[in-house]
Amino acid sequence: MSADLIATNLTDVLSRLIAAGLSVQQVFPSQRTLKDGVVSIGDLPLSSAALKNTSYQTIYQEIEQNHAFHAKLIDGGLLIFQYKVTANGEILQHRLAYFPAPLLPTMEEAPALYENDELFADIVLERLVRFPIRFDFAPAQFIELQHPKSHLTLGQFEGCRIPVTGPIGPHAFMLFLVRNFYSRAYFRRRNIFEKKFKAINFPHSITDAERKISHLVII
Amino acid sequence: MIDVIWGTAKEKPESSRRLAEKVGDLTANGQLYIGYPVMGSPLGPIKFDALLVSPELGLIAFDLVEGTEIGGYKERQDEVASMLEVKFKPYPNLKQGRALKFDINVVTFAPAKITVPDSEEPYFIANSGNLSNLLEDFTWASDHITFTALVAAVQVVTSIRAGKLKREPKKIDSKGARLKRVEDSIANLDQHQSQAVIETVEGVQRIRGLAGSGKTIILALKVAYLHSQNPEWKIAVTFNTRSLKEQFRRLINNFTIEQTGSEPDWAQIDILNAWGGPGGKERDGIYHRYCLEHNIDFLDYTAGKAKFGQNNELKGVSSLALAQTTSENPHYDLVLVDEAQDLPPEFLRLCYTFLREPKRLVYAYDELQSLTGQAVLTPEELFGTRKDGKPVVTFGPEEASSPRQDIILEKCYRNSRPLLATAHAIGFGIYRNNGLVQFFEQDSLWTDVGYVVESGKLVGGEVVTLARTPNTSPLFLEEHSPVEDLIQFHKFDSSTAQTAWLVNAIKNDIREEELRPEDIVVINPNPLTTQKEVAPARQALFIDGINNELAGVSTSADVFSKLDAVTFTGIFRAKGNEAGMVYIMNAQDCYSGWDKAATALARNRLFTAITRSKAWVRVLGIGTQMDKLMEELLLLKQREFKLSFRYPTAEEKAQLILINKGKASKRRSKQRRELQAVIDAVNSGELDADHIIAQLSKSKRVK
Repeated sequence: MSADLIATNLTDVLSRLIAAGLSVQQVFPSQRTLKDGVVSIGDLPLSSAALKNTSYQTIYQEIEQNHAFHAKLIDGGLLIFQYKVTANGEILQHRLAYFPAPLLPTMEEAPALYENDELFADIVLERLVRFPIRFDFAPAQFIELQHPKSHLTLGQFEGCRIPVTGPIGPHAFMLFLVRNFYSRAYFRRRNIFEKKFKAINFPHSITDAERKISHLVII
Repeated sequence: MIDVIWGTAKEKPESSRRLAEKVGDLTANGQLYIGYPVMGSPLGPIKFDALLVSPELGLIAFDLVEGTEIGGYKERQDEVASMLEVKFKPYPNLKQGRALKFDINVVTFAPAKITVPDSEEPYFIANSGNLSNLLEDFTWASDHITFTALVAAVQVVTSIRAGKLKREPKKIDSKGARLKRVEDSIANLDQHQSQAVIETVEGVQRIRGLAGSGKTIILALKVAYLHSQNPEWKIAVTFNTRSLKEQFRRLINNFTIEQTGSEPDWAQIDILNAWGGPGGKERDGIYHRYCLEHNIDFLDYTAGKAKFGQNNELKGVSSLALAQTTSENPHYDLVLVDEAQDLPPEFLRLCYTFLREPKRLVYAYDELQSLTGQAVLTPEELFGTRKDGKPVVTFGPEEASSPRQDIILEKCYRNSRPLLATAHAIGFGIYRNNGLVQFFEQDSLWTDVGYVVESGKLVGGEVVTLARTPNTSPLFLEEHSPVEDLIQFHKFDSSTAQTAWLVNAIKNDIREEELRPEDIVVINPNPLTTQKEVAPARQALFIDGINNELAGVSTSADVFSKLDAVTFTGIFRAKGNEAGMVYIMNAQDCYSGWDKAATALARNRLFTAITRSKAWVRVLGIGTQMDKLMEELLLLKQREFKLSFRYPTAEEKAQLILINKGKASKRRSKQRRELQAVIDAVNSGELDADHIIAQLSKSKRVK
């Protein structure tokens, strides 16, 4: 699995989100070669990791205003895809994140507002609870049963690191998101999302001890 | 003749009025500004009593004495003269070496004094008796070009388009280069516009004008001007489209800095959506604020829609709030409403109620953006009547000694003459096979919006030819490109072919013609299909490395896209925006609707879409409807973009207006609404279509 394949897959994911009418703004993912031939994909002007200890609304605003995302979805949800790969194609790190808009109604809550492009769609009082979702792959920080190499973090809970079987490709992340959080759009445009693509086979990174506690299997 | 432009003169009303009368009697030409300009100084903003700019008399500033106490007038004059020198010195055209090319004259005017001291140069002083003689002795010592530059400097506004990226085209005749030349030509306000900015009414003021006549900029300048003059005023600016918010904030900020040298006090100025909701100033709106201040239950959009039905939401919640108001609790000293044609009268009444005496409300609207003339409610109708049956607001006759309440901006600085004529011809159905689809109620509107009667008369049954002149549609807007390039219609066999052509054209614009992605807007007129229709083109462009975005509630939709992206938009969000190149997809949807009212609505969309363009328009479409649309364009072209038609009789006109007000068949439209509700429910999955069909066929059998 090379950096080029990840980058191609990422562009394909964004183009599917556009074709489905879900993505309204995109930032072309960059590709940069660092020291020792490490390739960094999807660098952004601002790291969402730097925004700890701030209210969710502020975090969202900072990311949005600095265009520190790769796709903005029609209801304001922001997607980030970042990968680091070694010179010989081994995955070093990834950070995949979803930040729902704190103030707008979600696509699931008020589909007609978005589908019919209504002007006052932002003036809706009742809202679901919003929380960011993050899939991190950071083997360098591994601590058995404390900091799984690949993990899922929900909300801004400091200690939330649900073990995940291994690193996740751009398509797998997109599908996880749209199936669960944009299901209406997903079922309508299923052909676009599920169309065949060249998958990346990441090796599993989960440990035996992690397998014995609740964990997430990503396929 | 000298035009008097009334700013605020509340500190010196009587002497201002006398000055306006005296100066108005002079034979010279020029403009007299009262309560203008305002300037920044180390000690805070300084306001001038009055300023006369005349090609014969030159530049004369006035120091007005309201009573009989003249005081240290020489010191005051020194102050005025040196401030003006500071103001004009930065303009290169106004000076020769280090000195200004003209004199700054200052006159103290004390109309209430019987006698005044003799004038000793450069300290001039006069009372009512000798002002005219004194003024007639002044002369303009420099040339005409300098004078024009001086007028531009007095009217400020050097950087209307500030904040926009600089374009640096390499080819001399690329579209990018031509667009740059057009933009440079629009840099200054004209006389009418600057008058509209400064003239301040102690009551309701209406500003009418076509799209592109500068209404938004005028409102922003007005806020900046009045805020610097009256920092204690609570000011609100409101509008329908969210996209205007950023634009207003930027303009007001820039203009205030330009006028006073410091940033506006944002605690005093609210830039608010019409509706709004809880969640701080960012999300606030007039209706929401009103509810808070009056202790009324706030309804959000969903609740408003449920209660009052689609398209009646704001109207419903506004009139409900007014009805629930037990005692008025005014909050603002000045409210400015942009895009009033898209806001219901009830909302304007709400704004009016929300104002302290003397109820300064400025509302700007586009006569034609809703085309039906429906928006052209008179102020008497708009604001309703008092308990005694008298109208709440009525416009008095125009007088030279007072600011104008009703301002018309007839010049259009955005759309060239052929574009505007095309938009109007299609909107009204001038060259439509089956006749007109909508019409103005008042005949005078045609000339108000800048048409001249070239032949015939505006009389029912007569053939009339209406044309726009260089005076109302400046030539620089059309001379940059041949007319075949300004506007094109293209018909395609399929949606795929339309998309392929569009994608290639955009690639060519960016790669060959040096347009920037943000110069390009693609509009899909049918709001219900936009997401789906634009997706293939967006995807193709993205894969080809051209970024693009879909304007929606989550995008800021300010004209200035920061992402270097082509904007795709539905018709609602296109309003208030402009771009050099406008592509309109699926124009066939705009040829006709299922009845005349729907046809009018569909054509209005095309009208709005065409008038977004500063330079070029490409109208794309599919099928036979598109052929018919192109036939209309052909007729218009053959008539050199003039509107030539049989003017409808009063009866025909009434019929057209009735249709558009939707009064023709209330019952039918109610049925249609109910049916639409069912269809919506099916679409959203709330109801099962098969189940309904089964039930319907059952009930048919019973009968």
